[in-house]
Amino acid sequence: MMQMYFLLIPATLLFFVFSVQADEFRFPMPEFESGYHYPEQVLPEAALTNPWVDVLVLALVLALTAWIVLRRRSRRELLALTVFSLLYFGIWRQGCVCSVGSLQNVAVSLIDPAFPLPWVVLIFFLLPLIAALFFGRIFCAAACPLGAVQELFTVFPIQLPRPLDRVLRLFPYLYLGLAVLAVCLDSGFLICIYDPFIGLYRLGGSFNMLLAGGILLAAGIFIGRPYCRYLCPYGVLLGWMSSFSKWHLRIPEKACIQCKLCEEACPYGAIDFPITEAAPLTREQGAKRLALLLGIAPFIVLFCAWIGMTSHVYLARLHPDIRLTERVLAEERGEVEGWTIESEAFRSGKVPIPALLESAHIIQKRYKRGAAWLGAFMGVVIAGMIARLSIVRRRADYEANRTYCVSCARCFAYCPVEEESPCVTQ
Amino acid sequence: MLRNKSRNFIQKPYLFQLSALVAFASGLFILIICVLMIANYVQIVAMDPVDQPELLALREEFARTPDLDPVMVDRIRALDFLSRKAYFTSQTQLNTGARLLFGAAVVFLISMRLAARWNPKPPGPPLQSATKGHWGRQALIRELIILSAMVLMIAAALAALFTPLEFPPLEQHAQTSAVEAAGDTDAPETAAVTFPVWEDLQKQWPSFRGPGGYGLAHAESVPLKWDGESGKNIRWKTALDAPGFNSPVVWGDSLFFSSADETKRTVHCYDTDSGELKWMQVLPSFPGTPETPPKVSADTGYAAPTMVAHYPYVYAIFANGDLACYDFSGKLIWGKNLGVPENHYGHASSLIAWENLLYIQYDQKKNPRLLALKADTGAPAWEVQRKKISWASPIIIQRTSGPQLILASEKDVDAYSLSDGTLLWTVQCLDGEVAPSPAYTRDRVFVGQDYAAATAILLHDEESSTTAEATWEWDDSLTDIASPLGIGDYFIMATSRGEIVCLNAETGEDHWLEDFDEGFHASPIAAGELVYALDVAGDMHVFKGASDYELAARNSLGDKASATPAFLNGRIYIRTHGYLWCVEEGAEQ
Amino acid sequence: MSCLNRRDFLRAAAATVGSGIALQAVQPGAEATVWQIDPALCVQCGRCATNCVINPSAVKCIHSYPICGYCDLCGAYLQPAAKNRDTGAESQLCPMSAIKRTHIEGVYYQYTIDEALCVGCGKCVKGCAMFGNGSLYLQVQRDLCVNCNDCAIARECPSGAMQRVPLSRSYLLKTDPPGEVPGT
Repeated sequence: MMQMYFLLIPATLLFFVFSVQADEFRFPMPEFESGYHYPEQVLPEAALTNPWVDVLVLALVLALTAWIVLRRRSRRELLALTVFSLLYFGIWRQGCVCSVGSLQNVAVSLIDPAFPLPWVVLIFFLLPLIAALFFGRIFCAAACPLGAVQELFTVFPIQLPRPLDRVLRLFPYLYLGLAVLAVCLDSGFLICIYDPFIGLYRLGGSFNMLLAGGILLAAGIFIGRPYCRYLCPYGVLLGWMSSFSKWHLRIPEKACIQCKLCEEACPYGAIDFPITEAAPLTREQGAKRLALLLGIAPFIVLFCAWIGMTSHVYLARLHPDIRLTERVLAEERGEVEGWTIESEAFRSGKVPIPALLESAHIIQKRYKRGAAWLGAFMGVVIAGMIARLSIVRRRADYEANRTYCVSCARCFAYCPVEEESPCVTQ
Repeated sequence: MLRNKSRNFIQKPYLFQLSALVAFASGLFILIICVLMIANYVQIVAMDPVDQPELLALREEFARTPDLDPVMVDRIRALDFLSRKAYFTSQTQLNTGARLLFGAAVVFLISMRLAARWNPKPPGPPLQSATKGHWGRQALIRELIILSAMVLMIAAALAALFTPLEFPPLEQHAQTSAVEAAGDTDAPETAAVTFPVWEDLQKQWPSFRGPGGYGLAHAESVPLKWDGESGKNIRWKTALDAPGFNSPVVWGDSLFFSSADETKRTVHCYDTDSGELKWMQVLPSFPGTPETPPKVSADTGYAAPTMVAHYPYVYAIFANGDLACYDFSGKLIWGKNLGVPENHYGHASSLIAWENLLYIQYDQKKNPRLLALKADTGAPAWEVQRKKISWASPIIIQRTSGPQLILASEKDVDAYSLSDGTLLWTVQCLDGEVAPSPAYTRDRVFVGQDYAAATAILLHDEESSTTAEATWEWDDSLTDIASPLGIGDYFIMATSRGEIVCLNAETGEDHWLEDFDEGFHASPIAAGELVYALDVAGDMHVFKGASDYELAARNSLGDKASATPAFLNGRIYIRTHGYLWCVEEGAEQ
Repeated sequence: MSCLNRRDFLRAAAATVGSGIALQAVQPGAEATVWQIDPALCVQCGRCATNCVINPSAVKCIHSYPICGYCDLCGAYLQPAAKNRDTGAESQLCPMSAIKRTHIEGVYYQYTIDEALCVGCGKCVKGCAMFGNGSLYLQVQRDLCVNCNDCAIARECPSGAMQRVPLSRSYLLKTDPPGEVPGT
């Protein structure tokens, strides 16, 4: 019996081998007489670090950052930690254990339950958000590899005019919306595709992204953290969390003496000034205006949704099948010469053109809906921003803006509250 | 707990100058490396070590020279070595450059930070405090946000406005392309068109080798004897100057064939009674029509596929992939280019139509497929991916389970459902390039080609499906151009070497084999008990399709012939190289 | 004080939403995935060689010896119109000269890929698929791949051959039994 089994196993194995792609095996496998043995197939194993190590490092870095920012209040120590994060998450892990990118994985697995979302990815997504809920954006301060490199390059910061800064802060919302839309509609991970700094860590990458990274860093010498402030989609989520943070850093630990010294300290436009002037409106007028705004907000949202819906025609091009369909149809109509690699691969496959067209229609339909949601989201964001600007508030002291402050600890050095007085050379 | 903050703002001029100098130098270094690396990158991206134009040209030349030239071998090897070396060198340079760049960036960053540290900007009260004008600023921000939101929206709306809606709905897509292709804006008369059914086709000679395409003509009063020289039984004879090997098709009083050379593709319509030209249309260029046609071999030409007449329209296809639909008055209904076929001899499969669909066996090297187009608009109805290239033409046979479309290609004989292209059965029995189309008689489909044996495939109908099995094979004299013919219990096969063999359809036994002086390119046609086989010299051999060879007549036209004749209403229409003939009993020219 | 309470409330709400997401999205058993090429889908377009974020590409050609025909006239090794079986540059197909040819016995030759030289252009794979047994095919080398969240090759792959596979079965070999290969 044993011998028979012995014969059976290779036979079934061979059967499997043949049935994989029977038509490819044109030539019989030789029967060697010289006692030749097949060389062993070398399949190197993955050289991946245990992902739980990354989780542990992230948790430690976050805890340390919180302690340094809130207790030690030391910029120098924070910088050292930043350098460590840059080395670990950037250089060693090649920038690809990344909370910023993980938001796409979470989004797609919410839409498509079949998409594998391991615990590690979820923790990478949630941990900085939870930390922000308690300590502010400490993830941005020293843990994020994208933030770290920009922080180090912020050497001669200039202050962008506050209005310009606030308007540019609209773009992360748009980027967030687009990234979620794209990933939910199976059109690729935009945040990863357009990660400007990953090429620096890998010493290579697409030329355009390397160029973009270089330009952003060069600009970042003067305009602090341009990616974090005006592009980062994860920063939007962190900002939301941080605005409810329990123990956010305070510029003076004790009472602010309103010396105005910190006004120039923040390169990121994240210090809110005391509001000393009387509001130009009475309380009633302000309330009326706010009510009016809230009244028209739904229309703003609807209008934005409509604009978004009309944009689906070109937004859908994010999906590779749409681009393929356009190409194939243009080829069919004879508007373009020759085949691209994609259209050739498509044509050598089994799918007929009408089926491709049909799937393109389905994708477009999904994009129509998705783009409307994107528009609505932007409408809510715009209305919300305007509403916040219209709320009449009083503020007595200089404070860190909880949404925008990345806890970089620069302002501490300028604040004279804890000691006699800083050395002022005139 | 007090920390000495003031040391943060101490100036050290010498150290500052030094670090600023280092920062400047490393910055310059970075710039230089960047420029060098970009240059290197552009080179390396465009470079495949063995795809250098010089090397490729040399390789091509090497391939052209018939024998092995050792000098050229050495040149190729030397050049190949050099270009590989260059590739690896620039690869190393790129890697080194990246490391250098990274190092320089680190130095730049550190020295820059030190420079900033040793020349700090001490905190001081701002000249103009930002606390002033808070409300004005808030209002400005608000306005700017509204403004930029509006700019964004307008940009989005404009972009949407100027993005052409690429995908019209499925049917609409087909129709618009048909309208575009027809070159005028009048919508084609889609609603009014009703197409003939099988019974109608039986009364005509609508396609290559007659109705269904397997070579059966109506028996009634087919002329038996004629003579081209004396004009005996020749009703009319019209001189032609129309290159193309396709066969005439006849519907009612109209005879159609196509013609093409490198520059021009034409469709011709003749009056069957008088032999006068009714109309001749030159095909316009359709979107996708190539400026120069693909290379074809001289014995295939640019117009090898036979047209199909499917009242009220006729269809023609050409070697460059152009497909045109005309009505019987010569008006272009629709046309399109199906994509230039990649075919080393030239596209040769003829068209066939059934009810409201037109079928194109588009078996090419790249992307072989079977297309079914809506006959009225040319819109794609369905499409089936095929495996191999072929020059054979499809035939349609009637089975109790329904009609079947049968195609032969390099390996398989496949039967498809006419309505949706479902594969009904497939038999693997061919091997190599195949031009003869299948024959059919007595439940048997017969395919032959001179690379492999000819095979008879026995069909067996079940309730709604058909099973097919290869039965006997014949591997002696085999055809490579003319299609075999099924007549009664026999298969007749005429070869280009001038042999005709008669095989028993059931057993495969060879009843007789006759040698002729000339080869056969035109396919033999059966009319009643008689087989009409036209040889390349233009002589029609008429013999009985029976187990004994019995020549009934031999009729000469005196002009070379390749096209299969058309048989309809007691007449035979023959397209020879220089003439179009109409043969009818009792007619004198 | 009321402000603090509101913040506490919102914080709790955010935490609830967060854990809701966690429950909704996470698959506790989900194994880490890596990128791999399904050889059945690969069309050998050559983009693996140029699109990988690392240079040279992490995609390399591997050889399944048990299904190789050991042909003398090897479509993966020789130029399509090679005039002789010489191993010189005039006949070789591989742009990197990464295939070594050794005589085994009779008419049989063994072809070995030098992984260090291979750039994953897939020219030999195409040759082997067209004229041979298809024993050569492209695979992502696990030790080289940095496992990007969004593989730059997958993004540009015209046939969707680059797929996420579980880490434990990170090679899709043609000698694997069918069904084991995800995506086929």
